Amino acid sequence: MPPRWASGTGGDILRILQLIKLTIANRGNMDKNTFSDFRSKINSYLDHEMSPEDQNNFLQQIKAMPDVQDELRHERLIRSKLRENLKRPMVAPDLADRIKNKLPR
Amino acid sequence: MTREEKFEVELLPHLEALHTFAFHMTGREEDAEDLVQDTYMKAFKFIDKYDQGTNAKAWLFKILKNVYINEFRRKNRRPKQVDYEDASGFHEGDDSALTSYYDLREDVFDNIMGDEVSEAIQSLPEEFRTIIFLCDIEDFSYDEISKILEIPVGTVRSRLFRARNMLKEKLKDYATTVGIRDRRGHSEDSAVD
Repeated sequence: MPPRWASGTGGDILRILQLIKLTIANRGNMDKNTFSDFRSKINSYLDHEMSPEDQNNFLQQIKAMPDVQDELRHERLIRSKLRENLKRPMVAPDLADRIKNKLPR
Repeated sequence: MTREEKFEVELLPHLEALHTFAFHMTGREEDAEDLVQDTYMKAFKFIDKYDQGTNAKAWLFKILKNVYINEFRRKNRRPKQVDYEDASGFHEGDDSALTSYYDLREDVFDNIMGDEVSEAIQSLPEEFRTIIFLCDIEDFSYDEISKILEIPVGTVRSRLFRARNMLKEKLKDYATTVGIRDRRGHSEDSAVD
Protein backbone atom coordinates (compact mmCIF):
# COMPACT_ATOMS: atom_id res chain seq x y z
CA MET A 1 0.00 0.00 0.00
CA PRO A 2 1.65 3.22 -1.06
CA PRO A 3 1.78 6.01 1.50
CA ARG A 4 -0.94 8.62 1.19
CA TRP A 5 1.42 11.25 -0.18
CA ALA A 6 2.36 8.94 -3.03
CA SER A 7 -1.17 8.67 -4.45
CA GLY A 8 -3.20 11.17 -6.47
CA THR A 9 -1.48 14.54 -6.58
CA GLY A 10 1.11 13.15 -4.22
CA GLY A 11 1.87 10.50 -6.86
CA ASP A 12 2.59 13.27 -9.32
CA ILE A 13 4.98 14.81 -6.83
CA LEU A 14 6.66 11.46 -6.42
CA ARG A 15 7.08 11.12 -10.17
CA ILE A 16 8.48 14.64 -10.36
CA LEU A 17 10.92 13.86 -7.56
CA GLN A 18 11.97 10.71 -9.38
CA LEU A 19 12.49 12.74 -12.56
CA ILE A 20 14.57 15.31 -10.67
CA LYS A 21 16.60 12.50 -9.11
CA LEU A 22 17.13 10.99 -12.57
CA THR A 23 18.10 14.38 -13.97
CA ILE A 24 20.64 14.96 -11.22
CA ALA A 25 21.98 11.47 -11.76
CA ASN A 26 22.24 12.12 -15.49
CA ARG A 27 24.02 15.42 -14.94
CA GLY A 28 26.38 13.77 -12.50
CA ASN A 29 27.11 10.94 -14.85
CA MET A 30 27.34 13.06 -17.92
CA ASP A 31 30.91 14.22 -18.06
CA LYS A 32 32.15 16.81 -20.50
CA ASN A 33 33.02 14.24 -23.14
CA THR A 34 29.63 12.59 -22.96
CA PHE A 35 27.86 15.91 -23.29
CA SER A 36 30.13 16.72 -26.20
CA ASP A 37 29.09 13.41 -27.78
CA PHE A 38 25.48 14.44 -27.43
CA ARG A 39 26.17 17.80 -29.06
CA SER A 40 27.67 15.90 -31.93
CA LYS A 41 24.56 13.69 -32.08
CA ILE A 42 22.29 16.74 -32.00
CA ASN A 43 24.10 18.09 -35.05
CA SER A 44 23.87 14.76 -36.83
CA TYR A 45 20.18 14.61 -36.03
CA LEU A 46 19.41 18.15 -37.21
CA ASP A 47 21.71 17.86 -40.23
CA HIS A 48 19.85 14.70 -41.37
CA GLU A 49 22.94 12.58 -40.97
CA MET A 50 21.20 9.86 -38.93
CA SER A 51 19.33 6.91 -40.33
CA PRO A 52 15.64 6.75 -39.31
CA GLU A 53 16.55 3.99 -36.85
CA ASP A 54 19.33 6.08 -35.29
CA GLN A 55 16.98 9.04 -35.08
CA ASN A 56 14.47 6.96 -33.12
CA ASN A 57 17.16 5.60 -30.84
CA PHE A 58 18.50 9.07 -30.22
CA LEU A 59 15.09 10.51 -29.37
CA GLN A 60 14.38 7.58 -27.05
CA GLN A 61 17.77 7.97 -25.42
CA ILE A 62 17.33 11.65 -24.59
CA LYS A 63 13.81 11.31 -23.18
CA ALA A 64 15.17 11.28 -19.64
CA MET A 65 17.86 13.87 -20.35
CA PRO A 66 16.38 17.35 -20.03
CA ASP A 67 19.76 19.02 -20.56
CA VAL A 68 20.19 17.36 -23.93
CA GLN A 69 16.58 18.07 -24.85
CA ASP A 70 17.17 21.74 -23.99
CA GLU A 71 20.23 21.73 -26.16
CA LEU A 72 18.31 20.20 -29.06
CA ARG A 73 15.49 22.73 -28.68
CA HIS A 74 18.01 25.59 -28.53
CA GLU A 75 19.91 24.46 -31.60
CA ARG A 76 16.68 23.97 -33.56
CA LEU A 77 15.43 27.42 -32.51
CA ILE A 78 18.65 29.20 -33.50
CA ARG A 79 18.53 27.58 -36.94
CA SER A 80 14.91 28.55 -37.45
CA LYS A 81 15.71 32.12 -36.36
CA LEU A 82 18.51 32.23 -38.91
CA ARG A 83 16.04 31.20 -41.61
CA GLU A 84 13.36 33.62 -40.46
CA ASN A 85 15.74 36.57 -40.25
CA LEU A 86 17.51 36.03 -43.55
CA LYS A 87 16.91 38.73 -46.12
CA ARG A 88 15.08 37.32 -49.14
CA PRO A 89 14.78 39.97 -51.84
CA MET A 90 11.50 39.82 -53.71
CA VAL A 91 11.62 38.08 -57.06
CA ALA A 92 10.42 40.35 -59.86
CA PRO A 93 6.90 39.18 -60.77
CA ASP A 94 7.82 38.90 -64.44
CA LEU A 95 11.15 37.12 -63.97
CA ALA A 96 9.75 33.64 -64.69
CA ASP A 97 8.17 34.90 -67.91
CA ARG A 98 11.34 36.69 -68.97
CA ILE A 99 13.30 33.48 -68.45
CA LYS A 100 10.81 31.43 -70.46
CA ASN A 101 10.86 34.01 -73.26
CA LYS A 102 14.65 33.77 -73.44
CA LEU A 103 14.65 30.00 -73.97
CA PRO A 104 15.90 29.00 -77.42
CA ARG A 105 13.09 27.85 -79.71
CA MET B 1 6.83 15.61 -71.62
CA THR B 2 8.62 18.15 -73.84
CA ARG B 3 11.82 19.88 -72.74
CA GLU B 4 9.82 23.08 -72.21
CA GLU B 5 7.23 21.31 -70.05
CA LYS B 6 9.95 19.61 -68.02
CA PHE B 7 11.60 22.99 -67.55
CA GLU B 8 8.42 24.62 -66.35
CA VAL B 9 7.18 21.81 -64.12
CA GLU B 10 10.43 20.63 -62.57
CA LEU B 11 12.81 23.57 -62.63
CA LEU B 12 10.92 26.85 -62.49
CA PRO B 13 9.28 26.16 -59.09
CA HIS B 14 12.75 26.63 -57.52
CA LEU B 15 13.07 30.19 -58.78
CA GLU B 16 12.68 31.88 -55.38
CA ALA B 17 15.17 29.62 -53.59
CA LEU B 18 17.68 30.13 -56.42
CA HIS B 19 17.14 33.88 -56.34
CA THR B 20 17.83 34.05 -52.59
CA PHE B 21 20.95 31.90 -53.02
CA ALA B 22 22.12 34.08 -55.90
CA PHE B 23 21.55 37.22 -53.84
CA HIS B 24 23.68 35.87 -51.02
CA MET B 25 26.40 34.80 -53.45
CA THR B 26 26.59 38.11 -55.29
CA GLY B 27 25.41 40.53 -52.60
CA ARG B 28 23.43 42.58 -55.13
CA GLU B 29 19.83 42.19 -56.23
CA GLU B 30 20.54 43.12 -59.87
CA ASP B 31 23.38 40.62 -60.06
CA ALA B 32 21.22 37.97 -58.42
CA GLU B 33 18.63 38.28 -61.16
CA ASP B 34 21.28 37.99 -63.90
CA LEU B 35 22.83 34.98 -62.22
CA VAL B 36 19.46 33.25 -61.91
CA GLN B 37 18.69 33.89 -65.59
CA ASP B 38 22.08 32.54 -66.65
CA THR B 39 21.52 29.50 -64.44
CA TYR B 40 18.17 28.72 -66.02
CA MET B 41 19.57 29.16 -69.53
CA LYS B 42 22.33 26.69 -68.72
CA ALA B 43 19.85 24.30 -67.10
CA PHE B 44 17.67 24.34 -70.20
CA LYS B 45 20.67 23.68 -72.41
CA PHE B 46 21.50 20.56 -70.41
CA ILE B 47 17.97 19.56 -69.47
CA ASP B 48 18.35 16.19 -71.21
CA LYS B 49 20.99 15.29 -68.64
CA TYR B 50 18.56 15.88 -65.81
CA ASP B 51 16.66 12.77 -64.70
CA GLN B 52 13.06 13.71 -64.24
CA GLY B 53 11.79 13.29 -60.69
CA THR B 54 15.25 13.40 -59.13
CA ASN B 55 16.59 16.26 -57.04
CA ALA B 56 15.94 19.23 -59.34
CA LYS B 57 16.70 21.77 -56.63
CA ALA B 58 20.15 20.36 -55.86
CA TRP B 59 20.87 20.11 -59.60
CA LEU B 60 19.95 23.78 -60.11
CA PHE B 61 21.99 24.90 -57.11
CA LYS B 62 25.00 23.09 -58.53
CA ILE B 63 24.55 24.81 -61.89
CA LEU B 64 24.17 28.19 -60.20
CA LYS B 65 27.33 27.64 -58.18
CA ASN B 66 29.24 26.69 -61.36
CA VAL B 67 27.87 29.61 -63.36
CA TYR B 68 28.83 31.92 -60.53
CA ILE B 69 32.39 30.59 -60.30
CA ASN B 70 33.11 30.06 -63.98
CA GLU B 71 31.35 32.97 -65.59
CA PHE B 72 29.91 35.47 -63.22
CA ARG B 73 32.83 35.95 -60.86
CA ARG B 74 35.29 36.04 -63.76
CA LYS B 75 33.18 38.61 -65.59
CA ASN B 76 33.02 40.76 -62.47
CA ARG B 77 36.72 40.23 -61.78
CA ARG B 78 36.22 38.93 -58.30
CA PRO B 79 39.34 37.18 -57.06
CA LYS B 80 39.29 33.52 -56.19
CA GLN B 81 38.82 32.99 -52.47
CA VAL B 82 41.55 31.46 -50.39
CA ASP B 83 41.06 27.82 -49.54
CA TYR B 84 40.64 28.32 -45.82
CA GLU B 85 40.94 24.65 -44.93
CA ASP B 86 44.44 24.69 -46.38
CA ALA B 87 45.31 28.13 -45.12
CA SER B 88 44.37 27.41 -41.55
CA GLY B 89 45.76 23.91 -41.46
CA PHE B 90 42.39 22.75 -40.22
CA HIS B 91 41.94 19.03 -39.91
CA GLU B 92 38.78 17.03 -39.74
CA GLY B 93 39.74 15.65 -36.38
CA ASP B 94 38.82 18.89 -34.67
CA ASP B 95 35.99 18.82 -32.20
CA SER B 96 32.99 18.29 -34.44
CA ALA B 97 30.72 18.47 -31.41
CA LEU B 98 31.24 22.22 -31.48
CA THR B 99 29.75 22.44 -34.95
CA SER B 100 26.74 24.14 -33.49
CA TYR B 101 25.32 27.37 -32.21
CA TYR B 102 25.08 25.96 -28.69
CA ASP B 103 26.60 28.97 -26.91
CA LEU B 104 24.73 31.57 -28.94
CA ARG B 105 21.91 33.07 -26.95
CA GLU B 106 18.44 32.94 -28.44
CA ASP B 107 17.60 36.55 -27.59
CA VAL B 108 20.44 37.70 -29.84
CA PHE B 109 17.78 37.52 -32.53
CA ASP B 110 15.25 39.64 -30.67
CA ASN B 111 17.06 42.85 -31.59
CA ILE B 112 18.32 41.70 -34.95
CA MET B 113 16.58 42.42 -38.21
CA GLY B 114 16.96 40.41 -41.37
CA ASP B 115 19.63 42.79 -42.57
CA GLU B 116 21.98 41.99 -39.72
CA VAL B 117 21.67 38.24 -40.20
CA SER B 118 22.19 38.65 -43.93
CA GLU B 119 25.14 40.98 -43.40
CA ALA B 120 26.71 38.54 -40.95
CA ILE B 121 26.34 35.72 -43.48
CA GLN B 122 27.61 37.88 -46.34
CA SER B 123 30.64 38.96 -44.36
CA LEU B 124 31.82 35.34 -44.26
CA PRO B 125 34.31 34.23 -46.89
CA GLU B 126 32.51 32.82 -49.90
CA GLU B 127 33.16 29.14 -49.19
CA PHE B 128 31.78 29.43 -45.67
CA ARG B 129 28.87 31.61 -46.67
CA THR B 130 27.86 29.04 -49.26
CA ILE B 131 27.95 26.10 -46.90
CA ILE B 132 25.93 27.88 -44.19
CA PHE B 133 23.38 28.77 -46.80
CA LEU B 134 23.09 25.25 -48.19
CA CYS B 135 22.95 23.50 -44.83
CA ASP B 136 21.32 25.84 -42.34
CA ILE B 137 19.08 27.84 -44.64
CA GLU B 138 18.21 25.42 -47.44
CA ASP B 139 18.47 22.27 -45.33
CA PHE B 140 20.39 20.21 -47.88
CA SER B 141 22.01 17.03 -46.55
CA TYR B 142 25.81 16.68 -46.38
CA ASP B 143 25.61 14.31 -49.32
CA GLU B 144 23.65 16.80 -51.43
CA ILE B 145 26.03 19.61 -50.45
CA SER B 146 28.96 17.41 -51.35
CA LYS B 147 27.49 16.96 -54.84
CA ILE B 148 26.54 20.62 -55.26
CA LEU B 149 29.97 21.91 -54.24
CA GLU B 150 31.88 18.92 -55.65
CA ILE B 151 33.82 18.39 -52.45
CA PRO B 152 34.09 15.31 -50.19
CA VAL B 153 31.55 14.89 -47.38
CA GLY B 154 34.40 15.19 -44.85
CA THR B 155 35.20 18.63 -46.23
CA VAL B 156 31.52 19.59 -45.98
CA ARG B 157 31.62 18.65 -42.31
CA SER B 158 34.85 20.49 -41.53
CA ARG B 159 33.90 23.58 -43.53
CA LEU B 160 30.54 23.71 -41.81
CA PHE B 161 32.29 23.53 -38.45
CA ARG B 162 34.33 26.61 -39.23
CA ALA B 163 31.49 28.45 -40.93
CA ARG B 164 29.13 28.04 -37.97
CA ASN B 165 31.76 29.16 -35.53
CA MET B 166 32.53 32.22 -37.65
CA LEU B 167 28.87 33.13 -38.01
CA LYS B 168 28.28 32.64 -34.31
CA GLU B 169 31.14 35.03 -33.53
CA LYS B 170 29.77 37.63 -35.95
CA LEU B 171 26.31 37.48 -34.39
CA LYS B 172 27.72 37.60 -30.87
CA ASP B 173 29.84 40.63 -31.80
CA TYR B 174 26.78 42.31 -33.19
CA ALA B 175 24.76 41.53 -30.08
CA THR B 176 27.53 42.93 -27.91
CA THR B 177 27.71 46.17 -29.88
CA VAL B 178 23.98 46.79 -29.51
CA GLY B 179 24.23 45.94 -25.81
CA ILE B 180 21.77 43.11 -25.61
CA ARG B 181 20.72 42.62 -22.02
CA ASP B 182 20.01 39.36 -20.35
CA ARG B 183 16.28 38.77 -19.95
CA ARG B 184 16.85 37.28 -16.53
CA GLY B 185 17.27 40.79 -15.17
CA HIS B 186 20.97 41.41 -14.87
CA SER B 187 22.91 43.20 -17.51
CA GLU B 188 25.49 41.41 -19.58
CA ASP B 189 28.21 42.57 -21.86
CA SER B 190 28.26 39.34 -23.71
CA ALA B 191 25.58 37.52 -25.60
CA VAL B 192 26.91 34.21 -24.45
CA ASP B 193 25.32 32.11 -21.75
